[in-house]
Amino acid sequence: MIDALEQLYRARRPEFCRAAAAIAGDRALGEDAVQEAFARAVRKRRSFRGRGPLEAWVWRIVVNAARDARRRRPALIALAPPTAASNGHAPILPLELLSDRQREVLFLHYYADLDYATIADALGISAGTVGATLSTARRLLRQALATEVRP
Amino acid sequence: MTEKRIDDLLDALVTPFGPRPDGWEDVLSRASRARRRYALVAAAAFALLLVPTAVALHGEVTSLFQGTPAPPAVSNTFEGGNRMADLAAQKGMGARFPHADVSQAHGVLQIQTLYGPQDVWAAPNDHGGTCYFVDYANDEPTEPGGAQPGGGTCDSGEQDATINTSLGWELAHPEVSTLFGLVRTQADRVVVRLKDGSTRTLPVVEGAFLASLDKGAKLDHITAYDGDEQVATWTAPD
Repeated sequence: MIDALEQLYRARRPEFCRAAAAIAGDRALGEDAVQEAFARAVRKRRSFRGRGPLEAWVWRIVVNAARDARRRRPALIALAPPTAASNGHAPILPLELLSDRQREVLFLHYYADLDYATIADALGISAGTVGATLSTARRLLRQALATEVRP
Repeated sequence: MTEKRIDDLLDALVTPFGPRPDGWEDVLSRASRARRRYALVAAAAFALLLVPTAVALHGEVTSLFQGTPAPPAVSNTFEGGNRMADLAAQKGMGARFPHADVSQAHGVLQIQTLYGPQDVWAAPNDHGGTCYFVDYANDEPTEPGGAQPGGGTCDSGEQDATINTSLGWELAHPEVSTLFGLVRTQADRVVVRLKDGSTRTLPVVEGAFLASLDKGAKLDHITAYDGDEQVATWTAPD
């Protein structure tokens, strides 16, 4: 079991980290969440009953760890100075338009290239809900970007 | 076009992570640290699980174990407990949690179980009591030079003629339950009565007793004796 976890970690760590960083809202916190999540998986490995894929079980732990990290993230005390792009416009993905679930589905699908079934397992929702949520999330972002005022 | 823009912005939002050669070792280290932390939290809180379950007593106490110097992994566990006590003090919890004198850590009891020898180790603490640690001798630290897996507790040395006992099982050793207890007065043995009516007499060494029990059996009551005198009793809650 530990061997399987190590294999998964070594094969997929960048994807785990990327998705966790997006969920946590911070790159370092996301990376730390992945380390903690795999440590948790090592400790709890005997509770994995094999009812689904190991990877989905680990993703669930990683998502929970990233959520915890986001909750613990210190509030910003000062905004960083704006860094405008060369055309004077700094492109921003309007993620604030999305719900937490929409963001998580989007991140797991994009950064980890997970199929709907694995995302569903990781988030505790149905595969159908994953598809609908992803579709809604991308539509909202499309609409926001299409109406964006450019300088 | 907008779909590609979304993808581009997602790419910019979190750029790819590179490899981390020591990443897996860090995972194992964290897993080990957490295991120690759990053991020490239990020790600090004196929160032995009081689970009235399993019992049917496998273990036979082996002699010549008492006084055995603690091996490095066990000493590391006691030292980890002291660090937790320091941390608790830093967090404003004062001197509530005792420090073990690791230099005096030694063997107290050893029994034979389905999973090989199971030990009780002890070290005096600065509250006038003793810190205890229970482990399976064949379990290995999860990292070289690390701490021994197991669980423990500390007491204050108060002699109030009570019996503190815990009965629980571990994921790593699922077929048995460990009965560990402390008699807080002078005693030389306890008689453990199970719900099925059977009894078992266990020696009390340095205040502690230990047995390995079948899962599924249940404790009824425990009586401690010193010579012919009954000195303490414990009854399972209904």
